[in-house]
Amino acid sequence: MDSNIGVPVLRTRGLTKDLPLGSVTIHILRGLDLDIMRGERVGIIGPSGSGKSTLLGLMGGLDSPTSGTIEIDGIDISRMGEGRLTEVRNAKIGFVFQFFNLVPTLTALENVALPIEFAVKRQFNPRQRAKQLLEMLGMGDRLNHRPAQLSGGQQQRVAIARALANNPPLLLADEPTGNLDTESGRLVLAAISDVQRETGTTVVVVTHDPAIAGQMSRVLTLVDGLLVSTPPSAQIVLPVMPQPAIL
Amino acid sequence: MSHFRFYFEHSIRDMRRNSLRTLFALFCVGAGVAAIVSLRTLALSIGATLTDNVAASQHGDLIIVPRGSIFETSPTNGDTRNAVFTVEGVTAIQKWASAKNAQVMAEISSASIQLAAQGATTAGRPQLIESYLIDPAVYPFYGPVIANQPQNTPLSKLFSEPTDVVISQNLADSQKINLGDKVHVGRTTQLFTVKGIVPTQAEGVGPLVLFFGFAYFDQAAAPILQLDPRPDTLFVHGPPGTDTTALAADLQNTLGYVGRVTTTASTLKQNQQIADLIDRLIVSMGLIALLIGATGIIHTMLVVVRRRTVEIAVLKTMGVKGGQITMLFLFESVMMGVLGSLLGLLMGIGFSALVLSFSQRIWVQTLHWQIYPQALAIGFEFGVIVTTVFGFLPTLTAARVRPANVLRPNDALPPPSSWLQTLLALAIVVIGVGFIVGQLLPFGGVLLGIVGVAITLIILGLLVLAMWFIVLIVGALPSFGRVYWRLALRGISGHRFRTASTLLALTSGMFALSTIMLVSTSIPALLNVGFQNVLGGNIAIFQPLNPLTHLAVTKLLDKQPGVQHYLSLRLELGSLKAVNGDQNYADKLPQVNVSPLVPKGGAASRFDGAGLYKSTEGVISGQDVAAKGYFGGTALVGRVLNSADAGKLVVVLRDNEFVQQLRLKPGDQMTYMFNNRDLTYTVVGILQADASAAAVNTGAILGVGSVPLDTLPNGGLAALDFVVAQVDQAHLNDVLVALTTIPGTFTLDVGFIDTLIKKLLEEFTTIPTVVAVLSLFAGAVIIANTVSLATLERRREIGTMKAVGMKNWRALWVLVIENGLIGVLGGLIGVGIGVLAVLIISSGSNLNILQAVAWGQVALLLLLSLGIALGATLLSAWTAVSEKPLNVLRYE
Repeated sequence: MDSNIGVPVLRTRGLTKDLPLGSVTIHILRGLDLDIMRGERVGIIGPSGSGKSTLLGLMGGLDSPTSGTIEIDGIDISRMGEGRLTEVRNAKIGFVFQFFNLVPTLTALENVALPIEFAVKRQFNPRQRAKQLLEMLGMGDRLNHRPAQLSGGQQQRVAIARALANNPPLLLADEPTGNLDTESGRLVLAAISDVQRETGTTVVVVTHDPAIAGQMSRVLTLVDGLLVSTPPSAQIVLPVMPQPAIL
Repeated sequence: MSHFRFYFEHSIRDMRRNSLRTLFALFCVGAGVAAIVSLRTLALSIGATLTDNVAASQHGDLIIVPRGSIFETSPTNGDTRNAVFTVEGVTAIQKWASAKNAQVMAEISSASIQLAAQGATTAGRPQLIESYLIDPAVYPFYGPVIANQPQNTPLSKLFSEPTDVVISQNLADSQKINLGDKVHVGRTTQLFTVKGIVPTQAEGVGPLVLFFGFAYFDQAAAPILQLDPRPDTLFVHGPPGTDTTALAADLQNTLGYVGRVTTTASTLKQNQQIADLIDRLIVSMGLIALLIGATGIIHTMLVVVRRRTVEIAVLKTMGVKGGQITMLFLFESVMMGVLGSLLGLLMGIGFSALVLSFSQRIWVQTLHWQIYPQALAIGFEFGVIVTTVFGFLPTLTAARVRPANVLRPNDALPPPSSWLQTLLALAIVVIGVGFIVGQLLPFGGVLLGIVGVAITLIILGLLVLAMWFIVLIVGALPSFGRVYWRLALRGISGHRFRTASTLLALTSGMFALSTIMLVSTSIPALLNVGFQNVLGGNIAIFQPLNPLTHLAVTKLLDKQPGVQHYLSLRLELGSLKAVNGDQNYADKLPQVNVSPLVPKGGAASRFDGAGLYKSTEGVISGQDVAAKGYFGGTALVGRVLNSADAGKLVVVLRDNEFVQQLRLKPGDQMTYMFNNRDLTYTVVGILQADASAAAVNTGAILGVGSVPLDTLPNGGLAALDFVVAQVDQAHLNDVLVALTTIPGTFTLDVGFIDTLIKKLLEEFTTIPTVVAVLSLFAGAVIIANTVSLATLERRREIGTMKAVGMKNWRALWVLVIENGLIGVLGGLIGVGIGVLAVLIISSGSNLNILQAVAWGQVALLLLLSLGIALGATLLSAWTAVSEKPLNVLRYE
């Protein structure tokens, strides 16, 4: 058994986020306590404006909370400086965005290699690793294509490969199929599931789609900045898979 | 009307919400407008200086010089003046004047009087100062001359003795002469006393006054200065309200042609024409800076349209038509033009004070700074028109956005405009800018302006295309696995047109500045070395044909430390009668065209294949081969002259086309005719060719030859006697000072030529330098704008890269590499062309590339180019790269 089983890869305590809007302050998140365990697949759902994407942004260190703490792999990132935060994002978190956000001037291979090249300590050879990941995601014949030469589904698969480049323990996806047709969306979701199964990476997906949420091992519902249903994580049986040799 | 209100409000809202982008765009327009305003202010100020109070600047209502009149006569006493009035002439004019209740004032002027402080360290340096021998009691009629030292003292109070002198401020500064100093003046041994220092502007804008200054003497000093006491200029002061044109006509009617008469009216008209010309010239130059600035508007509007593609698509789904979309963006473009021009007016007012101060320092003229409404008006007009026409093309693109883009916002890029639209937009640009240029042209009007602008745009288009290819090549350079280099190179090639036009803006500014700086630095050095080579030394001492003076000079040179060698020279005019006894030697030269001026049987004159004028007449140099340390040059064939050749009929020739074509060699016989006497010399050597020597002897097939001085016949009319010496730089000043103690000598050091050329270049390059600096400023603003737009467009890209682990400073580093490369490229191309210009100019000299080019300046200019690019990057990109990734990824 893995000694990390039952250890939260992400923990928030009293997490709040306020947004001053003129003379009014909007309370987007109102004190969230949340534990996400290693290997979990968590879906976050909720109506528009409930704070889903804000929560994802805070989890990923893209933004700073107004109060409370966020720990990733036991490291508190809530008061971290931008430089250190960038290193954490690079090593511990992979992002998949609704609009792919690939660098338009780089090829698929170069896009995937990017996080490895930014890493303070490189674990992998950038080009080799990028090629392996893209082949794993069925993009082996599109290595040297630029984003403009790829379909939406293909771009998103490149984005998933990029998110996995440094083998992060946490993969955060914001509406990953929101900009795709049904077939492409299905393929992307399958890719995420395959990756999670093969690597044991914790996956957190923000979505509006109940079908996608249904594929998750746990679903959190966010309403007006508060979690309204959080099954105790201890009750969830976590399937932990050995890491593939290539990773 | 409600549409216009919508356009207005929408434009203002967009500009306000994108304040940083708007600010840079406004600065782009502002920089160009500021250039126009400041240059127009300079032009108007120069115009005011030229036309304000002409009577005061010319010191009288009429100025009369005796040229070509019945009163003209030649001066005596070896005076170098062209002509002076006869005594009868002066009397006649005075008599006529008194009948008209007018006054007459006489002036003796001279440009050949040397003035140097006694024992001062700068003494002995030649000065081509203007000297005015005046009657202090009445001079001048208008515009009283008030001394700087003693402060506020009028000229009339400064003279008490005939040996008093009053000098201009620039002469005092350059010669380090102080009030009360004793000075050597002209050929006299009598010392003069400096009794006053007056403003340089007191005697107008003549080049000699400007470069070297002037001195006032009392007319009573004429005999001391060995000048003919008869005046060469008369000033007439009419009664109040005099019509100067009528007065001049009356003078000619009464006395006949008395000489050239200048009236205040004719001077005013002439100065007005000069002022108009300067105005048009300067403003045309300023337009370059504005056109550079206007490319910033194209960039900005293209980015505005691109970023608002979805918004345009949404508007179209709501029924807004393409034409209305064009109007909406054109409105924003015009708003930016108006606001940018207003900003430019404010900047221009500030710049104009700096430009005037700089120009004043170079020109030594008082240019009064004030806010000229005409300057502001033209700046505003040009700013708005140019911005509107340049902003038109991107707005056409906006109209072509399809409503379907609203469905696929992630792929929303505006389609390029059609050929027809592009041609229409270009036509509008050509007509709009042509209209402006047409207003500036002295002839041809708007039509010529339009043709000129069309040609200019074609040239600009070709230049942008050339830059586009350079950008293409640079973008394809290998990054050698360096991710930041790869990102920077891809960034460069991502927007090739924008990068190319930015590069062109920077290159233009750097080219203009570097060419002016490098050429004006190199020319004096080239000429300096050239003259030194021709002379065979670094000073030339001229003296009258006086054996005693010559003896005094050679004795002084013998005992002065630092004199490496000296040589007595005589340049003798003669003709080459025969070569090896053959009087038809000229037939052996390639003959293309025979000059019709050649008399039958006379000296042949020909044009060679290269069109170079050839004549059998020329100047040969007689050299004192027995002098101390005689240096005869470097022999290619045979030998140089030496002391053993004294008295022998031997000659050395410089290797040139003539020598080569006739295959002259040691042993050949050259028969020269000097002063109707034939002398046959034997060639003993061919000296190394000297390009600069050829430059001053072009056309003389006699060649640059040298013979022993004592073989030349005495009494030649065209002979010029002088001594050339080579003196160590460390002792040069002491030697020059010592030479001032020998009366009647005039010493020319090559450093003087250097100074003269530098002053001339400073004068001629003032306005181009100002324009180059302003263009460079516009270029810098364009770069800042481009970087700002690039970071704006790439905020999402930067945010993404930060999300996957790129730190702020590394994001900035990518932009620094990207724009640093543009800076280096702009510098290399711009400065490279400047270096090329210097190399072309120096190709005829024997200077090598290391000597000809001021490499220190090249390095500084390259650093400047890099500095501009990096400064602009840091200024505009830091905020963008510091943005939190979530803000960019979520809200944009």
